[in-house]
Amino acid sequence: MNGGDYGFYVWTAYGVSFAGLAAAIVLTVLGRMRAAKALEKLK
Amino acid sequence: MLRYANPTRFLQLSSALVPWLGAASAALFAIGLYLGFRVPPDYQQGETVRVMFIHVPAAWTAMMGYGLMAAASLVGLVWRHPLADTAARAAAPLGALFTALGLVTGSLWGRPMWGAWWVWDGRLTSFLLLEFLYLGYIALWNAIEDEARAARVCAILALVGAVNLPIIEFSVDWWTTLHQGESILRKGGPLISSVYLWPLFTMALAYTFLFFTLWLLRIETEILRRRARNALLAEGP
Repeated sequence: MNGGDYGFYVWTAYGVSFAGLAAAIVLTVLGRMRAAKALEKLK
Repeated sequence: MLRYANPTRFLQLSSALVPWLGAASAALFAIGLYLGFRVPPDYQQGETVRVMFIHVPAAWTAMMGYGLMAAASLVGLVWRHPLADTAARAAAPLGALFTALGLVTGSLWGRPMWGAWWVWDGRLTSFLLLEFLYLGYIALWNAIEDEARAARVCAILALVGAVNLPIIEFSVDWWTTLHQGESILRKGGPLISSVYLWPLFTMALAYTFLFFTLWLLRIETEILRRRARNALLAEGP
């Protein structure tokens, strides 16, 4: 779909959602990995 | 249930659940997006109807997140269980994100349909208040050094703020709003064609599963950080 006259709104909404969710996933997973690594180091 | 309030047991359960929840969320996103872009344009809204498949799930998840945060806060306040406080704290940034996504996608849907990016009607204003409640909760946690005190104060804020949830839900019934009235979860059945309901519910499930995946991971992270902190303290200067 090209969205016709409203393509800008539809694609921007999907783009913003994708960017927000992707950032949340990456930051959460990195935070979890860092915490595990820090604990491992102390042990 | 209380069995899993033990951090070690919680970590075991969470580690087993996270891969399945994450995989289910990814699969549901793939199906939901496929269905969402296959449905025909709406006879009134045209292509913009597709914004519904990301706006409504984000808004529902944001409200569910606050409900979970408030419930965990109540448990933390009554039973003084640190894991409940951790769970409440871990939910806040996620809730703030989903609320922000609901606000931005709603604005991008409102502009072509209403001719305005924003109006101060009951639904939009109460939903904006939800974002401020999340941000206030996060700021308050960071402002108080003593963790036990921060947890208590934030729990009270979360519980007081929970009053906003029914206001968001019923705002379209109580006041005249530009935002459409309840059209999905209503007595007498949805007003939306099932053609649009399938992708909508699939995406709502995908968002929900993603929230739980990230929430569990954030709780795990906090437990590990606490253990590292305690290990450092045990080592001494």
